[in-house]
This record gives sequence, structure tokens and C-alpha cells, in this order.
Amino acid sequence: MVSMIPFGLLAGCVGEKEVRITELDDTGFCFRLGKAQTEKMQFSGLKVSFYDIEYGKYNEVEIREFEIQKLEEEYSDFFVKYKVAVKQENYVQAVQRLLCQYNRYIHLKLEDDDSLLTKCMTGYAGNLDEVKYKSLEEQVGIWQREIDAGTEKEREKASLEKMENKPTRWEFCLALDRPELYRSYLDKPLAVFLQESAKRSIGTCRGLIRKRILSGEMPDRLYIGNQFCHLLFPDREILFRMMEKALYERIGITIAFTYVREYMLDSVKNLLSQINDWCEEKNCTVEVIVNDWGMAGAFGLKNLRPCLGILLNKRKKDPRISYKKGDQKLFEMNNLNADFYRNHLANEFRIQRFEWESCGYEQQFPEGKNSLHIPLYQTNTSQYCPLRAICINGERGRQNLAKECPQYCAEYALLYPEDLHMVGRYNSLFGIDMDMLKRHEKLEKCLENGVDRVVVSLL
Amino acid sequence: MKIVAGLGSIDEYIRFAEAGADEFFCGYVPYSWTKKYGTVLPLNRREVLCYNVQLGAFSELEILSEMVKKYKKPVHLTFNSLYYIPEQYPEIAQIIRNCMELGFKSYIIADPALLVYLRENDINCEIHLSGECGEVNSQMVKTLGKLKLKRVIFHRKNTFEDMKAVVDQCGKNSLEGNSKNNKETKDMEFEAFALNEKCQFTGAFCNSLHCDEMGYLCKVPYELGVQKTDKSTDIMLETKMNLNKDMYDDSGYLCGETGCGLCALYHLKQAGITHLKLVGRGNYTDYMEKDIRNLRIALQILEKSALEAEFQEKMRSALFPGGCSGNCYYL
Repeated sequence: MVSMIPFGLLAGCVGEKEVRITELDDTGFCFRLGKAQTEKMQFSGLKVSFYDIEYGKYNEVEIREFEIQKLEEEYSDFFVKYKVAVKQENYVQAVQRLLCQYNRYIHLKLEDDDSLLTKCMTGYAGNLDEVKYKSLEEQVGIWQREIDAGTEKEREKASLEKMENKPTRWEFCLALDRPELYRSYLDKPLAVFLQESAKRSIGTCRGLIRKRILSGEMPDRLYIGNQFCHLLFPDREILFRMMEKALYERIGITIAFTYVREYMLDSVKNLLSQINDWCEEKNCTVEVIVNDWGMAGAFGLKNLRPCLGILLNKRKKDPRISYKKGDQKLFEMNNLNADFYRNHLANEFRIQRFEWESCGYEQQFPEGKNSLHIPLYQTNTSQYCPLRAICINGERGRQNLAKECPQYCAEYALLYPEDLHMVGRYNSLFGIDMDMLKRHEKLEKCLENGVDRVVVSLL
Repeated sequence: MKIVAGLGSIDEYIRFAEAGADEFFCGYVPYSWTKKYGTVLPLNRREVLCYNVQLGAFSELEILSEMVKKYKKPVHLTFNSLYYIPEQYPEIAQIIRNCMELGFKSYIIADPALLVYLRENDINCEIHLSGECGEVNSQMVKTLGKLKLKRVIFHRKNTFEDMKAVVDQCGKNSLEGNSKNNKETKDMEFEAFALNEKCQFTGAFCNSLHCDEMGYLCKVPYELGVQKTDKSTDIMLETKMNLNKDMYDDSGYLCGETGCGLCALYHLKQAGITHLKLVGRGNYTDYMEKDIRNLRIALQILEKSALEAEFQEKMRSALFPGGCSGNCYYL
């Protein structure tokens, strides 16, 4: 008999009780019960559930023809073991299928080739071992060509017009998330900055920016700051200069904070207070993106409106997610779809706006205010920057806390196999939602389903 | 400091307890859950079916509860997915109620919404705030501490100074939520990672898939590239780890091969850490047992060492005569 097949692959039921099958072959199986439970146990309604690794679902086999015996020789202080002899053809077939699939899976794992494993298990045909390009610029060029090849320009133009003309008002925002963009925004007239922003964008994002340029409109709002790296937040002086410029240009302001390291708590608190004072003086309010529960709890400033940031608005995000086995509809919601949680965030922290990312599949946005970031979505972040670790130590894993940084991310990026549509920027990995970039309808659908703000990240 | 070891099966409990583990943590995922949600919405962060990393059947918990009564080494159950969907909260609450009836008192939780749900529904279990929840700073512990936390688990990317600051500010049970309506509350406990499975990213901010059918996204090969095509890089990636066969024992075991914080024990103690997490559910049972024994030896050496240098020298000589992996959590 094969022993200790994982419960996830092989579950047993005796009546309503789930039991652990400890051994099995095509003649039967063994299971165990706690000693106290054996006295009142009725051994009827036996069922074995076999996980089909290929199809990602269970095959439940009712055991009708069986003999059961207590295994007296395998004594334990804590449990009693039973052996069930089964004579059913569908049981035999199910056992053989499970053992065959499990054996194959173990062999694939022993090959230690993730590319092969993924291909064999999911049909994902991408080559996970080959990085073709040397620069992010080249990579973006490839993405642009891919979008151009898959886009019917006239249809897209019409779609964009339709979206812009929708009666429901939605905000168009630009994310300035790194020093290069802070400087660029400060140093240039807005029209020139927008032209450059269009050049830094592709697909739908470029279309949205160009539409604004053509109509002579400004972005409704700027997101200033980085939600992922604590060292990419603008210096105080630059921050306030940007805020002054945005206020002068009548553009809304959202300040994006990331997690807050312990040593930063006081300075962040002071800065929030200064921003609040600035708002008081200017008679305005600004939004503040919160990616840290400590910061959320410290919020009591009347001129600042907290929004739940991307690092705290969690969901599964992976460029290969469409290949994941199982019910993909389950990906569409997260904890923010629960009323009790949103009420708690509103009552406890005054949070009523949520920051989302377009990440390749449909999402159900909850009631309230929802901002959608395109085209990048974060998949992994480390407070100890992996890129910095490479640049200093030559090894991504040799990370430690940085309190200052020469910003290696201004020069370098981590490049990934083409099929994955992802990139490593600063301390994080990001996927890029190519479908969103190719098809404006996808964005339109989000706007119809609860999104009231689109935030474009520049590449 | 107490050793909290991962348990992949109830068959390991007695062996690990006798090896020196003081407490355990394990996942419990009923078949009814997996049937409904698969690993698309897992109940905890071990998002796999093909490994023995979870307890599955409720009958296993019944057996385990009897073992706990005899050996007095508590088991904390892990419900630490980063999020759940609305329909799942009452389901989890019912699972926890059932587990509490068996005597399992403490639960490792990462999703703030689940914390809120449990407290709003008067489920008064002990909560260990998972290292997967988010950045851990003193203000965060004060904020979430209002939901009555028993223990805070630090993630791996914390400095000793950060941990000490949190312990100093939050360790004594002066938090409003913790003391209110509960005269028997004790000081908050703090747990830090000690062995195995160092990650290059942070669990709380890791949203990619960790399932059976795909390799991990964070381990996909990459190249260091430049931003602009007209630039080049002379940075060389080091891909080989400095491991040699002398480091391993005859069974192929090397303590801390995949991640290690043993040299940091002195500082962790100074910082006020009360518990040490030894991860490795699903690892070879023999290796896990050796990990527990080695961690116990390291703690015994720590007890007898007045200085950090003395501790590290004696510990390395006892546990790493052929050298260590250098795969340190706390650089």
C-alpha cells in the first residue's frame, strides 16, 4: 500500500466525518480515528475523494462494497486504525489514476525544472528560462509592437472617444512615483510634461494622455510618491513644490506613502502634520494613500483623506494566473467586498477610497470610491530592496535594510522572459496588463462597474 | 525563548515534542473547503495539495488534541491567507469554533478583515498576528492591538532595533484593547523567524501564486538590465552559493541551508523576542527533527554565554563544524 498521500489529494469520509486515509492501493485503504471517537462511530456512508491533478477537481467515490476491520497490531495511545477492503471497479480506476498522476507530479518536481513543470501541468507554453533583451527600453518597445499588432486603430479610437464622452464623470490621474518624474514635472510646463508622459506610455495609457493633450485638458489629479519603496518618496522640499505647482495648475493631489519602517514613524507623522497645515493654509484637502496599518491608525488630520493603498488591498496577482487550475471566478473578489470590513475601515480609519490595479482578470469593485491603476500591477515587494542587493552584493538574496539609496533603480531593472510580461522595478516585481493596453473596452467596463478614477503609471 | 515548530502531520507531533519543540503551528484545511475553493482561495499560505503540509480531516485534530493534552505543547492553527472573500468569513468562524471546542485556543491570522470579523462575532480565540499581515512597527501593533492580540510574529525583514522598539513600546499590556474587559491578559508575546525558508520578497506583499502546478514567480530566472538601451552594466550576478559537501552531514542535511537566524539569537533575545519560529512544514521529518535539536542546542549555548561573540563562536563550532550556508535572515 502507498502511505500518507497528502490529504489534499485523497480525502476520506465516514458518514459526515472527514478522516485521514493513511494508506491505500487498489484493494482498499486504511484510515484512523481518535480513540474517543471510535465508540460512537457508525461505519456507514464511506466515501473517498480523489483529486484529479489534471482537471483540478475531486472525483468522489462512494464505497458500497467493503469489509472493515480494526488493525489491532498497529497500536497507538491516541488512535485506532481501520483497514477497509474494497471491491469496486470505479474505486480501482480512481486509485490507479491518482497514483499515476501523483507519481508523474513527483517526477516532474524531481526534474527541478519549473518551466517544464508549469508547461506539463498547465499547458503554459512560455519559455521561462530565456531573457532576450538587455534594457527596459527594448522591452517596452516589444510590448508596444505587440499592442500595435493586436489593435485595430480605428475601432480603438472610437472606443476611446466613447469612453471619454461617458456621462459618468471619472478622474484621469498620472502617477509620479520616482525622482526622475518629480524633477520632470517641476522643471517643465505641464503641456511639455504631458507630451513626455505620452512618450513614456503605451497602448491605452498613451491614448488617454494624448486625448487630454488634444483637448487641452489637464490630468484631474497627480499621485505623488511611491507605494512600494520607502526611499522613493520625494524630499520634503520637492514634495511641497510639487504640491504648490499642482495647486496652481488646479490639479488634485494624492500623496502616496508606502509601508513605514519603525525609524520613519516620527518623520512620517511630522510630515503628515505639515501637509495638513499646508492644506489649512491653502484651504484645500489632499488624499493620502496608506499602505501601513500603523499609519492608518495614526490618522486624525481633518484636511487629509486616507485611501487604502495597493499593499493593503490584497489579491492574487500573477501574469500566469489564467493558467491556474480551479474556479477563476473566485479571484474576482477580496476582503473589501465584505460590507463589515469596509464599514470598519470607514469608522476606524476614515478610509473610503480603495486603490486597485488592473491585473489581467475581471474584478468586482465594491461600493464606494475605487481608483484603478494601469497598466502595471505589483506581484512581489521586499522592504529590503532586491535590486540594491544585486547592485551591491551581486546577489538578490543578500538584502538588508537601506535608509538611503543612490537609486540603482534609476539605472537598472530586472528583465524577465518575454512571455511573462513582467519587470522588476525598484524593490518590487510587476506584471503589465497587456489586455488592458490593447483594448479600451476593458477599461470602459471597469468604469461601468464601480471605478471612478484611472491612474496611469508611466513606464 | 521558546521554539515554535511547524507541523505537517500529527505523526510528527510526539517526535518533535521530544526533540525539544515547545509549541507548534500547523494548517488545518478541511476537505469541504478544498472542494469548494481549491487552492484558488486557500485557507492558509501553504497553497498546495500535493504535499503533507496541512492537517486535513477533523478527525486528525481530534487525535492531535489528545496528544496536546498529554504532552502539554500547544498547537496554533494557521489561517493566514492575505485575504478572503465575504462568504468565507462565517465559514472560517465556524471552523474556528469547532477547533476551539477541541481545545485549540490560538490562531495565526494575517487578514485584518478576519480579525475584525472574529471580534465582531465574539469569537474570543487567542490571535497571533501573522508575519504576513504587513509591515510591523510599533504604531501598527498599537493599532491592530485594539483587536486583542496575544502575539505578534515579526516578518523576516526586520532589524533588531525595529523589533526592540516594538517590544519596548507594546510588550507590556497597556494597550487599551488588550486590557479592556479582560483582567487576565498577559504581556504580549513576540515571535521571530529562526530557521529555514528565507524569501527574497516579503510574505505580506507577495501576491503571486505558490501552487502545485507552477514554479514560483519570484524564482523565475531574470537578468539585470539597464533602463536605457544606450547604457550598459558591468555588475556581475553571483548565482552560485558557497556551499560545499563538508557542510552537510551524511544524510545530506545542513542546518539553515535555506535560511538561518541562529547567529542572531543573542540579539533576538536582547530585543525581547519570546518565541522563535522554525518553519519547514513539509520538509523531511528527519531534517525538521534535526532543526529542532540544533535550535535547542543553540539556545542552551546562548543561556551559558555572556557575550555575543562567545555565543556565536561556541554555536558555530557545535552546529557548523564544516561551515554554514551563509543564508542569513538578519544580515
